[in-house]
Amino acid sequence: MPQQQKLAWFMLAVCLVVLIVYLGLLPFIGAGRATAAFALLSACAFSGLFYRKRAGRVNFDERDRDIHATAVKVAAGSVYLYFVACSLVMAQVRSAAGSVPIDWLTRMAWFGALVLLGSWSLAALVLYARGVRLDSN
Amino acid sequence: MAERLNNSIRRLRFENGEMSQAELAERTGVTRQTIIALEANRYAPSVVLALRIARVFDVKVEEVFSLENGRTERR
Repeated sequence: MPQQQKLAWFMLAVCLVVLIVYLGLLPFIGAGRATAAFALLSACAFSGLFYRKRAGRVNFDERDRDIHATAVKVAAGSVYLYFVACSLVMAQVRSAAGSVPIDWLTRMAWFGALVLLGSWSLAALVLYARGVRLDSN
Repeated sequence: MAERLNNSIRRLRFENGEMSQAELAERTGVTRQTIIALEANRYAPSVVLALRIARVFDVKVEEVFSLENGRTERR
Protein backbone atom coordinates (compact mmCIF):
# COMPACT_ATOMS: atom_id res chain seq x y z
CA MET A 1 0.00 0.00 0.00
CA PRO A 2 1.47 3.43 -0.92
CA GLN A 3 2.39 5.66 2.00
CA GLN A 4 -0.12 8.30 0.93
CA GLN A 5 -2.89 5.70 0.90
CA LYS A 6 -1.94 4.74 4.46
CA LEU A 7 -2.05 8.44 5.35
CA ALA A 8 -5.54 8.73 3.82
CA TRP A 9 -6.77 5.79 5.94
CA PHE A 10 -5.15 7.36 9.02
CA MET A 11 -6.77 10.76 8.37
CA LEU A 12 -10.16 9.15 7.77
CA ALA A 13 -9.82 7.18 11.01
CA VAL A 14 -8.91 10.37 12.92
CA CYS A 15 -11.97 12.15 11.46
CA LEU A 16 -14.26 9.26 12.43
CA VAL A 17 -12.80 9.09 15.96
CA VAL A 18 -13.30 12.85 16.38
CA LEU A 19 -16.90 12.57 15.19
CA ILE A 20 -17.63 9.59 17.46
CA VAL A 21 -16.05 11.26 20.52
CA TYR A 22 -17.91 14.52 19.80
CA LEU A 23 -21.27 12.76 19.43
CA GLY A 24 -20.48 10.65 22.51
CA LEU A 25 -19.72 13.69 24.67
CA LEU A 26 -22.57 15.80 23.31
CA PRO A 27 -25.39 14.46 25.55
CA PHE A 28 -23.27 14.64 28.70
CA ILE A 29 -21.38 17.94 28.57
CA GLY A 30 -23.18 19.92 25.89
CA ALA A 31 -22.24 21.12 22.43
CA GLY A 32 -19.81 23.81 23.57
CA ARG A 33 -17.57 21.62 25.72
CA ALA A 34 -17.88 18.65 23.38
CA THR A 35 -15.88 20.62 20.82
CA ALA A 36 -12.86 19.58 22.91
CA ALA A 37 -13.09 16.36 20.88
CA PHE A 38 -11.71 18.30 17.94
CA ALA A 39 -8.38 18.51 19.78
CA LEU A 40 -7.91 14.94 18.54
CA LEU A 41 -7.40 16.43 15.08
CA SER A 42 -3.92 17.31 16.31
CA ALA A 43 -3.10 13.65 15.63
CA CYS A 44 -2.88 14.74 11.97
CA ALA A 45 0.43 16.35 12.92
CA PHE A 46 1.90 12.84 12.78
CA SER A 47 1.15 12.65 9.06
CA GLY A 48 4.76 13.59 8.32
CA LEU A 49 5.82 10.20 9.68
CA PHE A 50 4.25 8.52 6.67
CA TYR A 51 6.74 10.22 4.37
CA ARG A 52 9.88 9.29 6.29
CA LYS A 53 12.70 8.57 3.88
CA ARG A 54 13.98 5.03 3.89
CA ALA A 55 16.95 3.77 1.92
CA GLY A 56 16.05 2.23 -1.42
CA ARG A 57 12.37 2.97 -1.11
CA VAL A 58 10.24 5.48 -3.03
CA ASN A 59 7.64 7.05 -0.73
CA PHE A 60 5.94 9.44 -3.12
CA ASP A 61 5.85 9.30 -6.90
CA GLU A 62 3.97 10.94 -9.77
CA ARG A 63 0.84 8.80 -9.31
CA ASP A 64 0.66 9.85 -5.64
CA ARG A 65 1.14 13.46 -6.74
CA ASP A 66 -1.70 13.21 -9.29
CA ILE A 67 -4.00 11.60 -6.74
CA HIS A 68 -3.10 14.21 -4.12
CA ALA A 69 -3.80 17.05 -6.57
CA THR A 70 -7.21 15.63 -7.51
CA ALA A 71 -8.09 14.91 -3.86
CA VAL A 72 -7.17 18.51 -2.92
CA LYS A 73 -9.56 19.80 -5.61
CA VAL A 74 -12.34 17.55 -4.28
CA ALA A 75 -11.64 18.65 -0.69
CA ALA A 76 -11.58 22.35 -1.62
CA GLY A 77 -14.88 21.97 -3.50
CA SER A 78 -16.44 20.10 -0.58
CA VAL A 79 -15.37 22.75 1.95
CA TYR A 80 -16.66 25.51 -0.31
CA LEU A 81 -20.05 23.82 -0.63
CA TYR A 82 -20.08 23.13 3.11
CA PHE A 83 -19.53 26.79 4.01
CA VAL A 84 -22.06 27.99 1.43
CA ALA A 85 -24.60 25.51 2.87
CA CYS A 86 -23.77 26.63 6.43
CA SER A 87 -24.23 30.28 5.46
CA LEU A 88 -27.60 29.59 3.83
CA VAL A 89 -28.82 27.53 6.78
CA MET A 90 -27.68 30.17 9.30
CA ALA A 91 -29.30 32.92 7.28
CA GLN A 92 -32.58 31.00 7.34
CA VAL A 93 -32.43 29.89 10.97
CA ARG A 94 -31.16 33.17 12.44
CA SER A 95 -32.84 35.65 10.11
CA ALA A 96 -35.17 36.88 12.86
CA ALA A 97 -32.35 37.41 15.38
CA GLY A 98 -30.15 39.17 12.83
CA SER A 99 -26.96 37.65 14.23
CA VAL A 100 -25.25 34.30 14.67
CA PRO A 101 -23.90 33.09 18.05
CA ILE A 102 -20.12 32.97 18.09
CA ASP A 103 -20.05 29.33 19.25
CA TRP A 104 -21.94 28.37 16.11
CA LEU A 105 -19.14 29.88 14.05
CA THR A 106 -16.52 28.02 16.09
CA ARG A 107 -18.32 24.72 15.56
CA MET A 108 -18.78 25.50 11.87
CA ALA A 109 -15.03 26.02 11.54
CA TRP A 110 -14.21 22.77 13.37
CA PHE A 111 -16.64 20.77 11.26
CA GLY A 112 -15.17 22.52 8.22
CA ALA A 113 -11.81 21.04 9.18
CA LEU A 114 -13.44 17.63 9.42
CA VAL A 115 -15.03 18.06 5.98
CA LEU A 116 -11.67 19.12 4.53
CA LEU A 117 -9.68 16.21 5.93
CA GLY A 118 -12.46 13.67 5.48
CA SER A 119 -13.19 14.57 1.87
CA TRP A 120 -9.47 14.58 1.01
CA SER A 121 -9.06 11.14 2.55
CA LEU A 122 -12.14 9.70 0.87
CA ALA A 123 -11.22 11.15 -2.52
CA ALA A 124 -7.67 9.81 -2.24
CA LEU A 125 -8.90 6.34 -1.24
CA VAL A 126 -11.41 6.24 -4.10
CA LEU A 127 -8.73 7.34 -6.59
CA TYR A 128 -6.32 4.68 -5.35
CA ALA A 129 -9.02 2.05 -5.75
CA ARG A 130 -10.41 3.27 -9.07
CA GLY A 131 -7.24 4.51 -10.69
CA VAL A 132 -6.49 7.51 -12.88
CA ARG A 133 -7.37 6.53 -16.43
CA LEU A 134 -6.73 8.28 -19.69
CA ASP A 135 -10.14 7.28 -21.07
CA SER A 136 -11.79 9.35 -18.34
CA ASN A 137 -10.43 12.53 -19.95
CA MET B 1 -14.06 10.36 -27.98
CA ALA B 2 -12.80 7.85 -25.40
CA GLU B 3 -9.29 6.56 -25.90
CA ARG B 4 -7.67 3.87 -23.88
CA LEU B 5 -3.98 3.63 -23.13
CA ASN B 6 -2.70 0.07 -23.40
CA ASN B 7 0.76 -1.12 -22.49
CA SER B 8 3.00 -4.14 -22.86
CA ILE B 9 4.88 -3.74 -19.61
CA ARG B 10 4.00 -7.17 -18.28
CA ARG B 11 5.12 -8.89 -21.50
CA LEU B 12 8.30 -6.83 -21.68
CA ARG B 13 9.14 -7.65 -18.06
CA PHE B 14 8.94 -11.35 -18.76
CA GLU B 15 10.91 -11.01 -21.97
CA ASN B 16 13.62 -9.23 -20.00
CA GLY B 17 14.59 -12.04 -17.69
CA GLU B 18 11.31 -12.11 -15.78
CA MET B 19 12.05 -8.76 -14.23
CA SER B 20 10.02 -8.20 -11.07
CA GLN B 21 7.65 -5.28 -10.61
CA ALA B 22 9.79 -4.16 -7.67
CA GLU B 23 12.92 -4.07 -9.84
CA LEU B 24 11.18 -2.10 -12.59
CA ALA B 25 9.80 0.28 -9.96
CA GLU B 26 13.25 0.82 -8.49
CA ARG B 27 14.82 1.42 -11.92
CA THR B 28 12.15 3.94 -12.92
CA GLY B 29 11.95 5.70 -9.55
CA VAL B 30 8.33 4.94 -8.72
CA THR B 31 6.55 2.71 -6.23
CA ARG B 32 5.69 -0.91 -7.02
CA GLN B 33 2.01 0.05 -6.67
CA THR B 34 2.39 2.45 -9.59
CA ILE B 35 3.77 -0.37 -11.76
CA ILE B 36 0.83 -2.54 -10.68
CA ALA B 37 -1.61 0.28 -11.57
CA LEU B 38 0.10 0.77 -14.94
CA GLU B 39 -0.08 -2.92 -15.83
CA ALA B 40 -3.75 -2.97 -14.90
CA ASN B 41 -4.35 0.09 -17.12
CA ARG B 42 -5.53 2.02 -14.08
CA TYR B 43 -2.99 4.81 -14.49
CA ALA B 44 -1.80 6.89 -17.44
CA PRO B 45 1.88 7.73 -16.82
CA SER B 46 3.65 11.00 -17.52
CA VAL B 47 5.81 11.29 -20.62
CA VAL B 48 8.91 11.15 -18.41
CA LEU B 49 7.88 7.90 -16.76
CA ALA B 50 6.85 6.39 -20.11
CA LEU B 51 10.29 7.24 -21.53
CA ARG B 52 12.04 5.85 -18.44
CA ILE B 53 10.15 2.56 -18.77
CA ALA B 54 11.00 2.34 -22.48
CA ARG B 55 14.65 3.02 -21.65
CA VAL B 56 14.74 0.21 -19.08
CA PHE B 57 13.50 -2.26 -21.72
CA ASP B 58 15.66 -0.64 -24.42
CA VAL B 59 12.72 -0.21 -26.79
CA LYS B 60 10.82 2.72 -28.30
CA VAL B 61 8.06 4.17 -26.18
CA GLU B 62 5.51 3.18 -28.87
CA GLU B 63 6.44 -0.44 -28.28
CA VAL B 64 5.48 -0.10 -24.63
CA PHE B 65 2.41 2.12 -24.89
CA SER B 66 -0.32 2.33 -27.50
CA LEU B 67 -3.56 4.22 -27.80
CA GLU B 68 -6.65 2.21 -28.49
CA ASN B 69 -9.43 4.18 -30.07
CA GLY B 70 -12.62 3.26 -28.26
CA ARG B 71 -14.81 5.57 -30.32
CA THR B 72 -18.32 4.36 -30.93
CA GLU B 73 -20.21 5.49 -33.99
CA ARG B 74 -23.25 7.60 -33.21
CA ARG B 75 -25.85 8.45 -35.77
